[in-house]
Amino acid sequence: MPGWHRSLREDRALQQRDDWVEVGIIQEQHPHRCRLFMQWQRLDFPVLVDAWNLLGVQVVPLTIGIDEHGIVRETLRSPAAVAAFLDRTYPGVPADPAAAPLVGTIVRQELETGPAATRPDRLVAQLSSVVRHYPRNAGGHFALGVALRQRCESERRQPGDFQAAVAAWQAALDLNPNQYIWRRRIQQYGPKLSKPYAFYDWVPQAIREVRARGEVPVEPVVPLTESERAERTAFAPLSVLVAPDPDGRVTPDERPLVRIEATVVPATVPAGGHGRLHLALRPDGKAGGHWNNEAGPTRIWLEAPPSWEVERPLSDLPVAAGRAVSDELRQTDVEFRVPEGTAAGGYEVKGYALYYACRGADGACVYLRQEIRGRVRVTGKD
Amino acid sequence: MLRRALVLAAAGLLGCGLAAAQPARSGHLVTGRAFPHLSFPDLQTGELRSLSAWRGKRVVLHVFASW
Repeated sequence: MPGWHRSLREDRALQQRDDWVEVGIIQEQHPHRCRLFMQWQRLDFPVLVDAWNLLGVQVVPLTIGIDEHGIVRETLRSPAAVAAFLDRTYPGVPADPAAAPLVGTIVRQELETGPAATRPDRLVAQLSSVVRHYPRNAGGHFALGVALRQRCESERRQPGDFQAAVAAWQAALDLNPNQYIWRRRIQQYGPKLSKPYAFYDWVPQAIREVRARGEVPVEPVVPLTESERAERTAFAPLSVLVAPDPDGRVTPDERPLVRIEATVVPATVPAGGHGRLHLALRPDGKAGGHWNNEAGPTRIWLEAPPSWEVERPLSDLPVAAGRAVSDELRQTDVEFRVPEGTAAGGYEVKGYALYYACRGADGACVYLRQEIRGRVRVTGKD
Repeated sequence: MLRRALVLAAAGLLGCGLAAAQPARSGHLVTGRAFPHLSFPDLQTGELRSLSAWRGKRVVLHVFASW
């Protein structure tokens, strides 16, 4: 990560000056991870969160010099460049701030006004309206994807929010394939071989080292998916596994006590390509559902169409230790490969979840099965 | 992580010694233009802040991500 941050902070000549400030702007969906990063690296400069990429930057990291009148002056590539920037004289013409782009104005209005509880719905509605009226507004599609994913992580979540977010990010990228930030957002949740590197592999090390210093690490508000931790390694399917309920004898969860959301990333996969199926399982509080932690793990079994490969057909999701019942999100994501020569069209990666759940914290606990379906659109090869 | 740090440190070293200002152009950050009128949540407090809070000082702005 940014080596020059530390260089700037260790540069005595720069530190003795009081006519400048160091400020960060991050382009991340989940800002609490950057809070952990700042804690781990002992960085304490102010950081603003531009999850929607309202600035429209195409790459990170990037260091920019802005003068005392708020005018963008230059790209800074080293501590020496920072020192030169601070010494340079610029025309003293105070500037009015440049008008914000349409999407930026909308997001700002929604952040500044109205109750926070319904903000996810308002942002999704407003940004949906933007892309409906301006379908070639690529930044609007991207911001809509961010808002949908944010709503998916909130109490306001709607079925299909994550899949709709992936579709919105893809629509943005189709309009501007050179946008590195937008591409990263899909890669974050996508197949291993689409990644330039593991995105959040530093998190376990950061937590260990922060704890070793006697500090309490920043809590991950949104748990890391497997995709976000995955190394860029080869696809290696496990083959010798037995389906846990091949004949469907476990009682179906028809009411259901647990809501399961399946999301495919990317939404369209070329023949010969890879995708990931994300599964999010949450007890439905309205139905009185809870996890029963005294019986066993949640099991996931996945199958793909004939000749397709699923990397890990069987997954066990651990129970919440130390509690008889709980309501936490359980999630996993599994990679699959579409064979070369697969005809374009719609397919399903499907399977089922087997879990122990209770109706009400003191109610009856049962072993249940629920079907899983992830819809994959296969296109011609890129 | 370390691999990325080394690449970035190397990029920083390559930049050392360049005397001329390097123009900026990425999205709405363009040399000679005012920073856009935008507000963002503060990472630590969640409160909305604008870059104009630091008007009167030079700002070294790092646009980055922890991934």
